[in-house]
Amino acid sequence: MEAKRHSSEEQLCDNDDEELCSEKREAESSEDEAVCDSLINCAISKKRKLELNKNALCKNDSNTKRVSLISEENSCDNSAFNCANVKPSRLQEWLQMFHNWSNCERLAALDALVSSEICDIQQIRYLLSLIEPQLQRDFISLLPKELSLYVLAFLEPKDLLKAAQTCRYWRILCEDNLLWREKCLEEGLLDDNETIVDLFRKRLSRTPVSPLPSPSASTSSTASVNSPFVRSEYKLAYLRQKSIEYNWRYGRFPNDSETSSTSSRKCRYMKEILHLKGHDDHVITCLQFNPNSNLIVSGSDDNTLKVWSSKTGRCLRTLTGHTGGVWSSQLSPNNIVISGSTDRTLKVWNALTGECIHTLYGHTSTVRCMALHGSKVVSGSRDATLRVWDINTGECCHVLVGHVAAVRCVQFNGKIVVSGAYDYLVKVWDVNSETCLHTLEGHTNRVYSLQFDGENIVSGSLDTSIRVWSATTGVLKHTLIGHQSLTSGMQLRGSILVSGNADSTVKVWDINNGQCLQTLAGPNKHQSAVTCLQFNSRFVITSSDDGTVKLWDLRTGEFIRNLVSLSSGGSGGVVWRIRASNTKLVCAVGSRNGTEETKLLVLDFDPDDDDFMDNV
Amino acid sequence: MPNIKLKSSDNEIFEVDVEIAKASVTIKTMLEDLGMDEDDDEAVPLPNVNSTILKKVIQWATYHKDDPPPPEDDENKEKRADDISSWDADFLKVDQGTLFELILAANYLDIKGLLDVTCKTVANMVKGKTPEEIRKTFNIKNDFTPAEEEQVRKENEWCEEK
Repeated sequence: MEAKRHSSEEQLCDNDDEELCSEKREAESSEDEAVCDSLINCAISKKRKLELNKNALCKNDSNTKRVSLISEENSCDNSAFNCANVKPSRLQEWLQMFHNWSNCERLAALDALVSSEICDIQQIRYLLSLIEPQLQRDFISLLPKELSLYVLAFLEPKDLLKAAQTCRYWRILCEDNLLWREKCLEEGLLDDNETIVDLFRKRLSRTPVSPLPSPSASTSSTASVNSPFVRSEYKLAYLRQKSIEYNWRYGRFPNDSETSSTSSRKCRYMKEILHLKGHDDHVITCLQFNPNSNLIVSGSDDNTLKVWSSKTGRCLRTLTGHTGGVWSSQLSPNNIVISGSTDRTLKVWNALTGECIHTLYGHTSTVRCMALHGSKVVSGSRDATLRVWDINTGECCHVLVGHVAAVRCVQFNGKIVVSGAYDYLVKVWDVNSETCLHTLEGHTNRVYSLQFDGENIVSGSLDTSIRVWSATTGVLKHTLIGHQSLTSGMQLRGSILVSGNADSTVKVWDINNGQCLQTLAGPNKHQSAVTCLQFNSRFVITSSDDGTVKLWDLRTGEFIRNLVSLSSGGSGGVVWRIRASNTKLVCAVGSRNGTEETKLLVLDFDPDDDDFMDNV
Repeated sequence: MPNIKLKSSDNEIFEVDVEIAKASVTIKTMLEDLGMDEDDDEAVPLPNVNSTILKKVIQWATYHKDDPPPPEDDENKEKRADDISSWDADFLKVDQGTLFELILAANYLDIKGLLDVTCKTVANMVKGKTPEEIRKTFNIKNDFTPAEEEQVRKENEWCEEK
């Protein structure tokens, strides 16, 4: 003990050794009071520290930021009092005396030393600069790991990224997979299956297992400074999603004047917008997009459907056979297309080969709407009936009769069919028994749009109102009042409903209480009827007859930007339909007066350059 | 209210209201498991907590004795660090060494409220800082090689900074 202290002091003036110092500190702390301990340690602290701190003092200081002065700076202007080589006489004795005192005696001595006239203010400041680092703790490295992770869990992702750059050990803890899983959960990234599939796609393509990496495969149980550094899947997914969101908000397209003008932000260029020309000067009436297989299917009043690759923009197939315009379609996860036409038939197609598998006869007028669930598709027709078909066998399983005018919209969950018609009615059907369970009366004009989540039915009508009903009881829950015209499109996610209206506005509602949360309007509002919309947990995307596609913030209702703005907008160019995935936007655009060629636009917001999958 | 005695690692005895002491799940369980009676004169030994820290812990538990029990952690709910009451913030205006020991004590004694607020306080010391500022705050040595540092910077890039 004694010898050790000796050597430390000697080193004070020539060559200090940090290891020795800390070793001694440990040895002593077992027998002595911690406070005094650190003071002694300070007194015989490292030479470098002494110099640096004297340095600080010499700079005739208003040094309030003492800690920051203990840095790697080397410039020295210590002409006033150069203490580096000073060795007080009988220092050894002085310290020994202190060492021999009891705790109380030491405290009294320190009191006398610090609070009397003995030390001047500069020396006291100096003392403080010595003490403060002694009291600092690298919490994350020193706490038990589970507590360090508990602390880190309180940090926001941005701060975690900064913390990870502090030192090696922090980097490992800040990469903890469970920690980032929590951040993903908080952000709602794991709520939606499509997003999950997209975010973990890279993994999926390598190992075709479950879409969610199990939290037990976390790095957290094994991480140590020596084990190889493993990146957290959840962190990668989180960062990818943030990057995607950034691109939706700010990304620019090299071949687009609209998004590449404005804004002083750092420029992030996306891939070029794909232009998929087809259907001549006809109208695109329906649009489907399967982001997993990269297939787009467009239906047109030119009697055909076209299958496109969303990656290359190539037209893969043209589905010909209908003898009337195609007005409705569905695309199954395994790339089966079902189309409905004014020729009164439905057709079932293999999208990849272009083969027509079945033609479904039965309706006596235009097939205007359909809903697919598993291998069953329900079609609604101008003949006022609905039919349920098996797309594998091509047989008509059920006919639902009851409406007295054209069926305009339909929803289907496998057991219950909900239909909206021009007889102002909404009907709830049990498929197996072919019985009408409820007739929902209340609308005073044609019903154009429906949403159904298994319990809530939401119907949009030309009477300007939107009604929320219980599918179980048939009771009207809420009437959503506010729109001025026909509600043409709606989407329901949880309790949030977004409705697009011919009055050129879009509204966000809470169907639980019937409140309108936001109206997407203001100076940047659409200039004419809203044609289509889609939303996720962050954004609402809307298209309009004004030739634009707009991006809005779901929560605040703020306009973010125009994703598409046709130069022919206002003079005939319109956006008929949109479909979006987590990273892509597909728009069907054109005009009825020849000002805008009929085509699909594909915008890609993916920040990753490498292609994960190529199914097409 | 009956009192019990708590004994710190340095053998100091604290007399505390039983209900306040039971803020610590560890003590509560001890009392129940050992069937320690309130009349019992025996002090509950807390070999992992010194008197300075135990004093602080008792001070905290006394102030918070009427608090509702803390809610269970919900992993979907965002963990916030900015909801520290002004009394707690004042209470935790201590040096890092004390804060460090308080975290260990709160963990050992299983006092969720105190553990949360102390961990949040540390989180707040990290919040909004650059890596260099974090190092200075906690006296951390940067042990990355320049190559590693560049690599780490890249893998922790926030999309808005790219």
